[in-house]
Amino acid sequence: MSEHLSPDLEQLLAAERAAPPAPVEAQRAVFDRVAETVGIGGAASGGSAVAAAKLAWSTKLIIVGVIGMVAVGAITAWLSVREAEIAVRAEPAEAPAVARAELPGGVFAAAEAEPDPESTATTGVGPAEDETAPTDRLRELDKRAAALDHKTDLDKERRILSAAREALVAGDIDRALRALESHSVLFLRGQLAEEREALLVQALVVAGNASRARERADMFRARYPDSIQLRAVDAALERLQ
Amino acid sequence: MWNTLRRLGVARDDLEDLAHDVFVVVYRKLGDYDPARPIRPWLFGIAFRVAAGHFRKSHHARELPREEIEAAADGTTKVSREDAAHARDVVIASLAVLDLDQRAAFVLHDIDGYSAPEIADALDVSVNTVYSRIRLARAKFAKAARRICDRGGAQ
Repeated sequence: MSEHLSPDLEQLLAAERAAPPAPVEAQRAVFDRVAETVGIGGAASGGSAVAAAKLAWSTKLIIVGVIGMVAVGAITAWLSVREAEIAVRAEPAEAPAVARAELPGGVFAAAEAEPDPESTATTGVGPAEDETAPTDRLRELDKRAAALDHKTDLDKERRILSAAREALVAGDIDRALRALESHSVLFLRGQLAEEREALLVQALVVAGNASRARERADMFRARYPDSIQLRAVDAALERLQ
Repeated sequence: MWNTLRRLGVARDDLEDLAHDVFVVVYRKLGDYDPARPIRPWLFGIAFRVAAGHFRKSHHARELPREEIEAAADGTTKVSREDAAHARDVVIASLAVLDLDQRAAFVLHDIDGYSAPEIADALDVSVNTVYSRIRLARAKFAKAARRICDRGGAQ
């Protein structure tokens, strides 16, 4: 690519990258309309109710996963089977001052800011500070959907992390981080979240982002103190010394 | 998605409708998504096609973002706006001079930071086409932005 943008134009674009996400009311309105359009939560017989639950969960997962994706702020997606939380919020740009060791948009920053897993606080679509408990209906749908998605999600999770591993081995850090980001958006608390977090530390080390790698490693230890991946995480950090 | 549609030239009043349409398509096409591919370009491709369909309807011809153009060029409003918000207005107003294909490539590359191969995959065009569109888009964008900033006064 020959022509480059001048510094002043780059500044303009940087401001646009930091554009705030959609207003909370608009997010809720879109979510409600989509739910209505695709038939989530309507009365149905057992089989179709389960299918609706599965689809409801998938739709909500995608919607909350992408609604703020373009904004520089972080996205926290609700994927846990047991937790009835959804939060989509915009954080101030934690935009990496370092090189592209971590993608802008702060998906991983969002993962850092996850609420206490033991907390039963629930949120609707929108900023975390505007928490609204989802309905019991949605909780029930999510539980049923999560159980149904168990098998197929694991296959998808494996494929994404396999792609991340291959990229890491090949030295393509950007591709590795993107795959890890995709996994984080789709399966924030998926069954292979632990593997993802361990891979992320390794990717950050290879990318030379020492401070971020150490931060994520600390989070990993706190979250998974008995993890068999700890050795790999510690070994990666040793390369920084 | 909101900002993506805005950058593609969807009028403010239509953003909610188009966002809804995009997510319905995403929901229906979820089974087609290959998890090994980055998700954002895939989603952008859907947004792009939904926006293109929207603009093809005669009564939804792509509107110039009048609010942004006026805000960017009106010196009297500059004083009351934060720099970042003003800069965003300039960007949206400058994007208005690009055709949709160029806009899409430019937004994906120079705002969202994706590589040409990823963009080619998302938009279903060749990599050379992506490079060509980005080159043309950059030249037009730069010219439009400078014109808007230099004027600083009346539109």
